[in-house]
Order: sequence, then C-alpha cells, then structure tokens
Amino acid sequence: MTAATTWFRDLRLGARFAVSGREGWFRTLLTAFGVGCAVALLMLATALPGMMNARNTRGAERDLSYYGGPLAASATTLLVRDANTTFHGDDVHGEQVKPEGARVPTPPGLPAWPADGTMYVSPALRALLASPEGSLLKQRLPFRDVGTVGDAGLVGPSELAYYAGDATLAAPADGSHAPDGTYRTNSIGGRAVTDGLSPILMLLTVITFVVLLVPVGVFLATAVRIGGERRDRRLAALRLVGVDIRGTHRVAAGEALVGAVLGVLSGFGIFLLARQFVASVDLLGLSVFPSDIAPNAALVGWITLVVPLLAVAVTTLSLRGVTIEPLGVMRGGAPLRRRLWWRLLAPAVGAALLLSMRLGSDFTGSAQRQLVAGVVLLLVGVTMLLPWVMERVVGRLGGGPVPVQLGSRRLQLSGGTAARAVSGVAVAVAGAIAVQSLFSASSGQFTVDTGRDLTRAQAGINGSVIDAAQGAAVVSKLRATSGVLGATSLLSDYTVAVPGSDQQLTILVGDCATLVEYASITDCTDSAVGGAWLVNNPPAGDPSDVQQPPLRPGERVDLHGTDLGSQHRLRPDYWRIPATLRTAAPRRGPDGMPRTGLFVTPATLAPQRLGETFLTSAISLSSSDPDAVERARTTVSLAAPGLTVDSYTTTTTDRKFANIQRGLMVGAIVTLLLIAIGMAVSTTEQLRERKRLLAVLVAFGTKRSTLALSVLWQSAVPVVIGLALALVGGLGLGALLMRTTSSAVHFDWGVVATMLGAGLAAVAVATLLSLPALWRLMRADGLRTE
Amino acid sequence: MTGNASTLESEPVLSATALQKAYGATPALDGADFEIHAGETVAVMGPSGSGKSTLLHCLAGIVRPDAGVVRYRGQELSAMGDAERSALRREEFGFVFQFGQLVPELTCLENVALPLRLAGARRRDAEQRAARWLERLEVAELGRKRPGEVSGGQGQRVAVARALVAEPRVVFADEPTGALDSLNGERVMQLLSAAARETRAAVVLVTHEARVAAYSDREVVVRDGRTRTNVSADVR
Amino acid sequence: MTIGHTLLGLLESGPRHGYDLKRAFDERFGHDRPLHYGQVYSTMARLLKNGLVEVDGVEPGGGPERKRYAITDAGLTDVEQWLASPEKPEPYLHNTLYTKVVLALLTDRSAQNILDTQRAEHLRLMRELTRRKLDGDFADQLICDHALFHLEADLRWLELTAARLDQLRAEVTA
Repeated sequence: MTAATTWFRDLRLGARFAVSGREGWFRTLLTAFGVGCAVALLMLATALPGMMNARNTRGAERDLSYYGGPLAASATTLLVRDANTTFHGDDVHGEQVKPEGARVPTPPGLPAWPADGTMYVSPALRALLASPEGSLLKQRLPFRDVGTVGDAGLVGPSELAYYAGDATLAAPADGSHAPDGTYRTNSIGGRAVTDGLSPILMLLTVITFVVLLVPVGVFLATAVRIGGERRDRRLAALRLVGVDIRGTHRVAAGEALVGAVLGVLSGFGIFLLARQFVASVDLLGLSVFPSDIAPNAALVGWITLVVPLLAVAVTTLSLRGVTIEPLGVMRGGAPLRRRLWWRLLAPAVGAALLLSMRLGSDFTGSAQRQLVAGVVLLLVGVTMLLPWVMERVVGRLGGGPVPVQLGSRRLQLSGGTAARAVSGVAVAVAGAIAVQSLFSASSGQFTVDTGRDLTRAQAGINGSVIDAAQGAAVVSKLRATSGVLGATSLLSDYTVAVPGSDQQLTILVGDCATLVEYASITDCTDSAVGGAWLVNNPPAGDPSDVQQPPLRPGERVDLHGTDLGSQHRLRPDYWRIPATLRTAAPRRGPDGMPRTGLFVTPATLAPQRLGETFLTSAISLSSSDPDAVERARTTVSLAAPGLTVDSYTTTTTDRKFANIQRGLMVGAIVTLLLIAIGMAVSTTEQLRERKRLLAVLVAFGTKRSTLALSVLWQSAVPVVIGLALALVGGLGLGALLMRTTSSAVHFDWGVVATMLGAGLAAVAVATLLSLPALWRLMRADGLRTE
Repeated sequence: MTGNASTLESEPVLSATALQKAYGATPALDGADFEIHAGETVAVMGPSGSGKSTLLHCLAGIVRPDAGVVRYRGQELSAMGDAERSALRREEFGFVFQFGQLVPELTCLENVALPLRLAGARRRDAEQRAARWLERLEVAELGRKRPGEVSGGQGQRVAVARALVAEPRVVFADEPTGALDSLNGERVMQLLSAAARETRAAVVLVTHEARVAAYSDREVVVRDGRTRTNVSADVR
Repeated sequence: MTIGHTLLGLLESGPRHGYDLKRAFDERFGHDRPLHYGQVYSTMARLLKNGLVEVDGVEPGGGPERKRYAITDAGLTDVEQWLASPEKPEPYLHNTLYTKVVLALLTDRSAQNILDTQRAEHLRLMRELTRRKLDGDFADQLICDHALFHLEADLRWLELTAARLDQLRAEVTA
C-alpha cells in the first residue's frame, strides 16, 4: 500500500468514528458547534471593516452639503434646511427641501422630492411615528407620509430618517446660507470622506481586534480537543488490531478533521443566522443591514483552510504526550515536571517587541505588525504560563475536607485539561484589562469636560435666528411649554463694527434675569435705559477667549457690521454706546461658556436692531418629566425649524473613540459568552467521561453537595489562578501599551475589577450550564451501564 | 463453621418483599423477596440480565423500587428520602463493585479513607484506620500509589478494604471478582469473607460464579426479576 | 432405581403395555442404549412386588409383555420424591438429571424446581468443600479445588439447561 492510500484509509477510518453511533455524533456535534461559533465570530470580524465602510459610503452618498461659492437658482438647484433632531436619545436624520428646478437628481433611496407638506420616511421612523411613544415626535414633524426612504438611503435598518417638502424655504440673500439654516445646493451625494483614525485610535482599534480574536483562537484549539479521553481509548482498541502509532495519529486527525469541517460549515450557518439576527437588534445604538455584513472572501477562504489544519495540528500535538498502547492509554507516563524557561520565551519576546516601539505621528505597516505580534505573543504567553503556574499552585493543595481533596487531586492529575479550559477566559480577561486600561488612560484625550452646569439648566439652544422677533417667539413658546420651568433669552450679534478697530464687538441683549446668568452683573434694572456692561477679561486659556475691542462711552458703533471678508453688506445702522457703560466680571453661563462682549438690556438697545442675530437660551426642565425635553424640542422645531435643542451633559466623548470602546464592549461580551459556552461543553464532556465513578461515589452515600462542591472547587481553582495570571498579564500588557502611547501608566481599578468580574461571570454561567448534566449523572442508576 | 441457624438473630438485618422495578419499559425486578441476617453472607445468583444488580441496588437504597418494601433494621428504607438513604449508605453500608470504583486521582490510602472522611472523620484518623485495613488485605505497600498504578487484584483488595473500613453492618458486593483470575478471585473472597465474619457484617454477594457463591451461607437465585430462595436442603 | 423411577414416571400419563413402555423409554432416553425387554420385565416385576404399580389388564394371548400396567398412589409418591430430591453431586450426573427434567416436562411438573434443587445441593457441597479448603492444609486445598471446579462445571450445565428449558419442552412434548 502506498503512503498516500494509507493516509487516506486512516483518515477515512477516523472520519467514520466521528459519525458512528450516538456517542460519536454527540462528540462531533459538540466540536462542530464550538468551532462553528468561533468561525462565525471570525467571519463577523472580517466583515467589520466592510460594514463600517458601507455605512460611511451610504451616509456620504445622500449628503446634500454644498461647499462652493454662491449659487444662482437653476433647474438643478435645491433649497435645503438640515432638520436633524433627537428623540429620546435617538438621532433623527432629516432634510427639509424645496427643489428650485425640475431636474434636481434625488439622493439614493429617495423616489422623488417630496411636495410641500409631505415627507418620505424610513421604515423605522414610520413605525416609531405610528406607535404611542412616537406621538411627541409626530407633532414635531407636521408632514404627511407619502412614501418610504429606501435602504440605499439609510445607514442602517433602524435609522430614523425623513425628507420633507417645505415651500416656505426662502432662498438665502447671499446665494449661500440663510440665517434660518437654509442653503442652496446642486451637490446631491458627496464623496465618502472619512478622515482617517489618529494613530492612537488606530492602535486602539487594532489592539481591540487582537485581544478579542486571540481568545477565539484559544477557544478553537480547545474545541477541537473535545472528547479526547474517550477517543484515546478507541485508538487503543485500534492498536490492538494492528494499527501503528502513526496510524492512530492519522485516525485521530481524520476524526478531528470531520469535526472541524462540520464546524466551519456550521460556522457559515451560524454566521448567516447571526447576520439576520443582527438586522433585528440594535446593539448599543448600532443597527446594520445584513447585506452590509459581507465577510472578506479571501479571509473566509483562509479560515476555511486554516481551521481544519489547526484541528489536525492541535490533535497531533495533543497526542504527543500520550502513549497509546494496544491495552490502554498512558498519559505522559511519569508526569514530567513542566519547564518554565520556554514558556517565558513568548511573553518575553512580546514584551521586548512592545518595549522597543513608541507610537509616533503615524501608525502603519511595520509598526502595526510589531504591535500585533507583541500583543499576540504576550497573550499567548499567558496561556503557555498557565499550565506551569497551575501545576505549581495545585501541587500544594490536597488537604482540607473531602470535596477539596477530591477536586485538588483531580487537578493534580489533569491540570493540563483544567488549564486549557480556563485559558480562553484568562486570555480574554488579560486582553480586556490591558485594552480597557489603555482606554481609560487615553480617555482624557478624547473626553471633554463641557463645563455645563446641570443645576442651572438641563438643555439649551445656541443658533442663529432670522431676527429678534423669531428668537423672542421661540423663547416665549418655550416658556409656555409643559415641563419647561424656565428659559433664558440672550440675543447676540458677534459682528458689530467699531470704527477704528479691526476687532469686532459682540453685543448681547437680554433681560436682567438672563444677563445675570452670563455675566457677574449685580445692578441691573429691566426698565432703566442705559444698562450696559462690558465684560472683557475672559479666563485665560479658555476656548471662548475672545478679546473685545476697547470701548469708550458715547462711542458710535455699526450694528450692521458683517463678518470680515463677507460679500454681503447691509446699510450701516449706527448706535451710540451709553454713557453709563460699566464693566463686569465674566461668569460661566449654564452652558459652561464664559462670554465677553457688551451686555445690554432691551430697554437700552432694542434687539430688533441687531444685524445677524443669535439666540442663546438655557432651558431648565422639570426633572420629574422625562418627556419635557422632547416637548421643548417640538416647540422649538415648530417655531424655528433648523434650531435644535441640546440636552446638556457634563462631558462629551470623541465619537470615534466612543465607537471603538463600544465595539470593545460588544466584542468582549460576545467573546466571553462564546468562551462560557465552550467551558460548559467541555465540563459536560468531562463529567460524562466520569459517569461511572460519579455513580459509584453516590452509591457510597456521598452527598450530592460534596460532589457538587468538588466540581466547583475543581473549576474554581483554575479560574482563580487563571484570573490572577490574567490580572498580572493584563496589567503588564496595559502598562507596556500605555508606555507605547506615552500615556502615564495609571490603572482604573474599577475597570480592572469589572473585567475580572466579567471573567468570573463567564465561569459562573459555564458552571450553571453544566450543572444539569452533573445532577443527571449523579443519579445512582449510572451504575447500571454494563 | 457449623450451621448458621444458631447464630441467626430472629430479625433479619435487611429484608425486602415483593420488589418491583422497571427501567423504562424493561422490567428489572418483578416481585423479588430477600432477607439477610447479621453475620450472614447471602449469594445472589442468576443469569446476566436477571435483575441481580438491580436487587442489590434496591437493597442498598441506591435506587428506589417502584413497588415493594425494603426494611433495614426495622426502618422502611424504600420510603426514605435521598438524603437519608445516602447517610445510611455512608454510615452503615459498604460497597465493592466489579471495576471502576476507585477514584483515580486519589491514592489507594486516600481511597480507603474516603468512606470515613465522608462520614466526618478527621483526615489523620481516617488514614490511620485505612492503613490498618490495607495491611489486613495484604496490600499495605500500595498506600501511596494511585489506582492506575496497581494490578486488578490489588485494586480489588483496596476496594474491599474501602468497603470494610467503616465497619459497616451490611456489605454489598457486586461481582467483586468478576474482573479477576481464579487465584486473585479466591484470595479476595477469602479476605472479604474473613473480614466480614470478624466484624459480623452481613454480606450481599451478587455473583454468577458458583465458586464465589460457595463462600456464602446460602444463595438466592434471581430469574426474570423474581427470586427463588432455597434454604440449602438437607432433605435426603 | 433410575430405570424403575423413569418407567414409573412414564406410567403417570396413563396405563401402558410393557412394550409401549420400552418404546417410550427408548424414544426419550434410550439414545445409544435401548432397553431390553428383559430389563422392562424384571423392573416391572419388582415395582409390582413393591406395590408401586398394578396390573390394569391383560391382552388376550397371554405372556408378560401383554400386561397393561398402571401406577399406584404409592408409585406416584415415589416418583414425586425421586424428582424432588437432589442427586448426589458426582460425575456423569447429567444422565439422571436429564431423565428427571424430561420426565418433569412430560408430567407437567416444574423442571425448573428440579434444576434449582440440584443447584442448591451442588452449592451446599461446594460450600462444604470451600470450608474444608479454608481450614485444611495445602494438599486439602488442591484436592478441594479439583472437586470445586468439577462441581462448578456441573452448575454451569444446570444454569445453561435452566436457560434452555423452553426449547427442551418444545422438543420433548412435540
């Protein structure tokens, strides 16, 4: 027989074992399920870049923004007002439009431009508007629904979006932008402009991927070893009928191959199912079209090839330490003491790689590879160190009550299995600790303190209005809105020209109640003419540090001054600075901004005279009315379309940074869940192999609690050791990464504890999942097997 | 040894009447009766699949019969809850099975000490007593070895030591020599019966081997789930 | 006594001529050694003398072989006792046991009981030998073991026969 046919024969024999009998199928399906979950996750990971890209592309293709010079009305121009709004934390993408000609192309997904008073809506928005929860939003969008915005015009299936026709849109006087936000455009669908990630964000992304995928790899290696002990006995039987040692390895490989191939196939299946499922959920605010989740074909090809090969490699390696003789199986004979030095090799090289690099102005190519290699080596090092540490620690155990003794002795005899079981958790937790630490260390760069004072106001408006009358109308309607306790009304013009100065003056008009919120003014009377205070010493280093030109009482200023360089000029309107001009110290407004400028009462200067008018309003809301802010938004939207109400928060986080962090959280949850499933499967499998012994112990009168406790101890000890190692490894890796990014090495212990807790939770879930099997196996009729 | 009749107490230590037990649709016991007195060894014989082991499991309170009554020292064993039966098995019964009964991770000494420890003995005391029993069964040198490192006959002696270490009132032996050759089987039976005689333990001995059954005082034959008791007839 | 008991057992199902008895015996138990007329005649004469059978009638033509025999109550009791008592365990026991089992099957008695009784007897002896072995010296042990192994072989045969009773019944009563 030639070598090839021998190979083929043995592989086929193994394959037959994999699918023969209930036992064989059960084991194979367990393996296939484990491998399938991991493969599906890997495929999802390869699909992520494409997914983000597809979202960005569709977002850009519908973009109406116009960046050129003034435009004249034509057959292809469109008047647009961006009318995005927010409803209970969800963003609503909205455009109010008025085509000026008949040949204005529509963006993808929009069948036609909506006529006046009508709108096209996304399916999710339609569903929301039709539901009772959407009634407040319905008032805000007083348009008739005439059609659907197709998927091509949406970034995700649950995106809320609408296009509404509004005949009242007036062409901007300067041909570009009007104070109410209306602009003229002929640019339908822009290019996808993605400003690349900064090096540190890139690094965070890469590391997030690595720390999430390494545990999946470790898990894969564990999954293909399911049912090993039983298989070894079967191989011994084969030796008896004359198969040689190499032959048994080939048979084992054939068996593993079937599990792995079925696993890859079920991975495709699970992936397709998960893809459909993903469309129907909104995970942390991210909804994705199934068609956007297109795995990278080349990478999928690799997975299809590598996973079965990995299965064969792992199987062959794991058989190395086992002597399969015709009459039985010896595991390693006299157990070799595990050596430390080569186990330290991987983490040492990893650490060296990380130590020798420092994040510069860019992060590409070789630096990326070096980083990935360093992180992978360090994490893999954790799994390699684990059996050694386990052996050292467990070797000392053995005393104590019966459950502890049973559990400890079991660990001493098969510490390797136990170490394998938790290595996935250990790596996942180590990686998560490292990355989360890196995140919290660098979050300072991405989180901005808004300075907003939530005790004074909980929402606010800051935007341009057509004129003072519209601004006043908005505020008075706001004040009349249910749930709104109060609203300031500050109307300002930043472009007042002061003769003889090239700096422009800001004039801010408001009643006394408003003014005291934005400047330290104590002697204000609403009725008195001449109330005028100059605030001109902003806190140094403040972003709103705008110097005002020097002013003298009685000086004449032009209220119709315009932006420097603006083409559009109004007829000058002069106003004389009151003789009663005083100075005042700045005060941070409820929106956290200190303002400089000339603060005046309406009695001193009628706000109607201001040229370009901005409305600033800080709104305080009833804390017991969660709908108050939505009502305020509706009021404002109806009174001045284009004006938006922001909910105040004390900090804001960079969107991309937040997205990566969110991705890490989602990924970590999914990975830990996967590992928990894997642990449950392998624990169940181990228990099944000990069925007879469990039955005998029960016959002896061993209490169930004793056995359950011993199983718990047996899984808890490796977990504690694994998590301890994960803690050390994670902190070490975290510190190295922080050093690489030049952040100060600092750990957020809350985050570290959370990650350890998540690891513990995963193990608890796994234990819970395997308990029914234990309970079933502890029924004494397990004796009745022969 | 002379006739048993004089040494029998009037009350059996363990008895069963009209036991029924089915696994799924398969009846394993269909009206089995049994009794055993202190110090007595009763062989339960019968072809394989006849219900011998099930009878032993019911007698030992490992499984609960579907119908019928098992009495142990006046208490109705078949009516007890799982915890109570477990406690009884732990404290009053000893077990020897055919194979696969020693905990592979524990040393032989620890295996023998296990019943004592389960009953709450301190480790040192338990292991001292266990060592004495290993000695008695002629395997004192195996104390530190694991079950995987000893021969079948040695392992079975360790198992006998473990069954007797807590000085149970009843020892249940299910094919204790089933996996052994004649010589080892004989020796294990000799040691088991000698030790049982000394501690006045009753022995329920399930076996299909006549030479093993010959170590008993009398035998009970199980056939198709029913028992036939033949008090050895001197009718001539 | 065995032939006598066997012939008695055959009479249980009804009176027969001597010639019929020989034929019935040969059919079931004769195999390689058929009975002589003389054996039947002398056995019946002895049974008649002991009151275990009686002459039920004589065919015209005379001669001892033309007598029809019937079993008496004493004869019934004798068969009963014979079947119920175990044989002394010894080599080539199976001839007698086989006869007993077949007779039991023919007369609707429990063949199982016969086997069980015999098994108990075997075990009793084995127990005795085991005891003797345990108390005796090494030579005793070897001798006892020899006997034990033989008895065990018999016991296995008993077991096997017990397991095949249904088959045997079908064959015998066919």
